[in-house]
Amino acid sequence: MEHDAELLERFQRGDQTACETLVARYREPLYRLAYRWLHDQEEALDVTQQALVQAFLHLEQFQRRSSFKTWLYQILLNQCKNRRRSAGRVRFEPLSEALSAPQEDGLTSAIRMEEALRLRRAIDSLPDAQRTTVILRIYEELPFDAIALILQCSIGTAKANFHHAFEKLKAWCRAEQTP
Amino acid sequence: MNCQTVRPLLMDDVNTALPAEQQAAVDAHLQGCESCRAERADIERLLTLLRAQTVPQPPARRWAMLQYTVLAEMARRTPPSKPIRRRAPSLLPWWTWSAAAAALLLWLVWTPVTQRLLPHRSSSQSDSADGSNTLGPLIAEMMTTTPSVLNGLDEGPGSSPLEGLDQLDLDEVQHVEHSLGNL
Repeated sequence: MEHDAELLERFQRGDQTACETLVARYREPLYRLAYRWLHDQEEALDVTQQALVQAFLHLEQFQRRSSFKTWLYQILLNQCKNRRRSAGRVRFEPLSEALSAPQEDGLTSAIRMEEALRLRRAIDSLPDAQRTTVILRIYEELPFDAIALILQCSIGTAKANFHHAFEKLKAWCRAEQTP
Repeated sequence: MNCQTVRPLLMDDVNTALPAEQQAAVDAHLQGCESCRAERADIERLLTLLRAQTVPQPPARRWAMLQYTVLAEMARRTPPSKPIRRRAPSLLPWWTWSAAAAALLLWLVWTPVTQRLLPHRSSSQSDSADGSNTLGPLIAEMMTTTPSVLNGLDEGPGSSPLEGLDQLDLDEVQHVEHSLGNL
């Protein structure tokens, strides 16, 4: 697999196929992150598209201090924040699509969906930095140094954000178990 | 290991990401610690719930549309690179070309005029200063512009340009000369 740096160099020399390869490589991780922020498929795709366009249009601003993927995540998160700010509220898609539920009877499925919805709300109620850290760590499985670069903070801050977020979510989990 | 050192390792324990030595130590502690076992159970439950929240996958055509839109947007916003046109360096200064063009224009304008005026002036002043007759060569020169007049002209060396012209041709020459003189 060709490295990002080589593809970016080819793109800057005018090779459009390099751009195609990079878009194909990063559209899905970007979309996943956008979806976890916005909870709307079309919005997430739209933001992903905008982030990719912005990245390629302003490639001269990419200083190669981080990976291209990290830089893309930064752009995407800014787009997500702007979108959420302008939308004013978070939209919720039906959870049936977003839940990887095995074959269950109706009642169990409904309970699981209700629980998942509450968990989603609990995650969304976290401060932006904590929420992003949880998403990047749990779902994208990024190391803390990469998360620190994306959030433009120290590794210690990134770890602290994750710890605080996880403690809150554990507390939520315990509260859910209490009858 | 005590609770304080085990707690930060519990998530890695759930994810089975601990090195073998640490794993063994954590396992040993968990066997005898109810509190840490409860904590581990909470982490495991939370991670299970979090991981159950998957992201719906868009259809393939939607990915293709995204790809196409990004590339089209790039093409639209990026100005096409224009080829750099370099002018060949001129060996002469610019004004020489202007002067040459003016000279050519003057030549084009004045040559027909002189061709037309000179025979007329010569016919009115039939003899030149040295007494030689200049009318014949001038008329012959004029006739080169009217090829029909040249029919029957003898082009032999040393012959007069008017030799070989019959009366009809001479009449025509005079007619042309008369017409030019009226201009």
